Amino acid sequence: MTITTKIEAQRRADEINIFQGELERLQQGGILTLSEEQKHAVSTHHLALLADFSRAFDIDRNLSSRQLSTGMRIASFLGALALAASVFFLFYQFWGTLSTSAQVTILVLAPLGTFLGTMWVQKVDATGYFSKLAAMVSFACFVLDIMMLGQIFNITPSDNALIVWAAFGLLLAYTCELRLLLAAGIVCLIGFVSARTGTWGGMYWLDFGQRPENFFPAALLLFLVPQFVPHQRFAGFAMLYRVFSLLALFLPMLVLANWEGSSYFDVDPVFIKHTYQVAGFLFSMAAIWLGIRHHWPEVVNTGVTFFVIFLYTKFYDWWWESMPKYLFFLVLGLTAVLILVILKRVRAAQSGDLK
Amino acid sequence: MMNWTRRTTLIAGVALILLTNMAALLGAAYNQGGEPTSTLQLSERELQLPYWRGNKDNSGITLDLRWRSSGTSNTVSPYDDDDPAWLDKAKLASLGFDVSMPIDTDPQRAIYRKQLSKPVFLALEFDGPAYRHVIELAKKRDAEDLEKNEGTDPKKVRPTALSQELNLASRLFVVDAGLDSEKLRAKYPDTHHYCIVRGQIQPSVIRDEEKRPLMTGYIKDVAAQSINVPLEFRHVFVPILQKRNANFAYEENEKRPKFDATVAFGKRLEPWLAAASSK
Repeated sequence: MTITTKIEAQRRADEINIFQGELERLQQGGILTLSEEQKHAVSTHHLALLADFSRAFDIDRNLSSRQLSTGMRIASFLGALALAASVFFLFYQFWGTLSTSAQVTILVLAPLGTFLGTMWVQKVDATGYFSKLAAMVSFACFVLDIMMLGQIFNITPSDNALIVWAAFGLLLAYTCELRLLLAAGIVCLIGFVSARTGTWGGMYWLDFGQRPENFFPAALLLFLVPQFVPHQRFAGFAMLYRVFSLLALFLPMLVLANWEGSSYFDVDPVFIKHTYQVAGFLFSMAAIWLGIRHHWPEVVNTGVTFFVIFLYTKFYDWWWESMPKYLFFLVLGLTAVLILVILKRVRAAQSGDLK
Repeated sequence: MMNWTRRTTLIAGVALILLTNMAALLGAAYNQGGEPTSTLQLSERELQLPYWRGNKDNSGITLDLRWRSSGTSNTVSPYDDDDPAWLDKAKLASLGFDVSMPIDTDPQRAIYRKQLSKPVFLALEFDGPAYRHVIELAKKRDAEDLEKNEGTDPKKVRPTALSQELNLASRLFVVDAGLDSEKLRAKYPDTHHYCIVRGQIQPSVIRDEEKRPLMTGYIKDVAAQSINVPLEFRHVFVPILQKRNANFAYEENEKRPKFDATVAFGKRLEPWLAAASSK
């Protein structure tokens, strides 16, 4: 089998490590005994494979290198955030003392230069940590660029800024396999789609948050992206799309289930409130079912989280005033236990299916 | 399907950055090109300086446009309300709001409050009839206050409403709204006293003096609110800011530093600072 991506290489390396551990245990238990030549052949083959993967994809060859990688990822993430903030503050610190032409030149060149820099770093940096850092700075420069041009020329705010930020964020995210920028791009995309939905409904684009239903088309769009665009090469990307899709669905539902006045529908407010409360339960249960069926743990977890939130807010409505507090929290605790029992049964049933 | 390569990424990224910047800059150039649609000679009364104290991380200066409403339907605060008298039921209907339902009960009024704001064009009047009207109101209020405070030590009396109006308050009033900027301009052709800007209007229901429900609206936002100070006019505002920071109470004080500023509005109704000088 030809390995073409880092994810595949890392998966293969992990399988080799697991195999080696299991082989050792089998040999120690006397269940399987390989001859010296066989041991040597397997070991040489695996070492050569790992060396190849390491050279081509900079994978973690063992547990300790994986732990170090995690540390490097955290450092890279924090560094990227700090550098992006630094770019913002650097410009703010001095921009008032620059002429308009100098401001514009700096603003245009900053994202261009950092983008070209990111592409160069990505070419020479096999680990990807430095290119991810550079990509974050480039994105920050582009956001700053558009924001500041708007401020310098007193341009009327437009939702078009969100779509170009989303496009740039997604471009960098896919180029550098950077989930943080994917999240930033998705947030901008949610903003743009929701704002456009709002303007089609006749409202001013910046007011799109006043009608939470504006987020539903974005939720649907995000959920469909990983269904139609293959993401095997990009670790965690499909997961992020699904999580943000569920957030764009459940958060507005939660708002409407409690503050029904912000709905588009001109019907009885109590009816709207109850409809969204029921929809919240049904959709979170559907998410749990869908997640279990398709082996999407993030969908299951988000579904469970919102199911519990919907349930607890309902309990609050019903009993917070009427029940003694110890009893109220006891009910919450017992409900959590009940949910655990149900999920345990589902898990057991699923394990049975797998057998 | 197209094969996405590094080269494609490079071209896409560079094109995105350049095209976005070009669109923004061409838009700004179009706005400021040719004759401005309006030019107003404003002062520190209409343009508020930022609070610089403690904000050492931002060297930029922006001026905030201080606009007011021309009279009001709510007589509790006759000078600075956001729901102007001209924004009545007929005007709201002309702006596309549904005003056909009655407002006698709470659920009916709630329907109006639920309506969202609409983007509109607003006519801003500088130093015109609306300002003169509030001066008359201020004179009336002063006369009433004088009657109430007869016998009080004059030193203890705060600056009068008229003095406030003549020296400190903004002379810029939102006097009209419409869905067509050209029609609005035709109605207010004086480009040195009237400017047309984008804004938002929100319908609402308030109570009049007799506590009866009254349909009105309020100005939710004026788009040309912040005006950037370019480097060539920075020398006018930096000493004022430094002076004001030294004396924190300057802002609402008649002794506050004064300046003149010419604000122009372009083809896209976006403003810019065309000239500035200290008095």
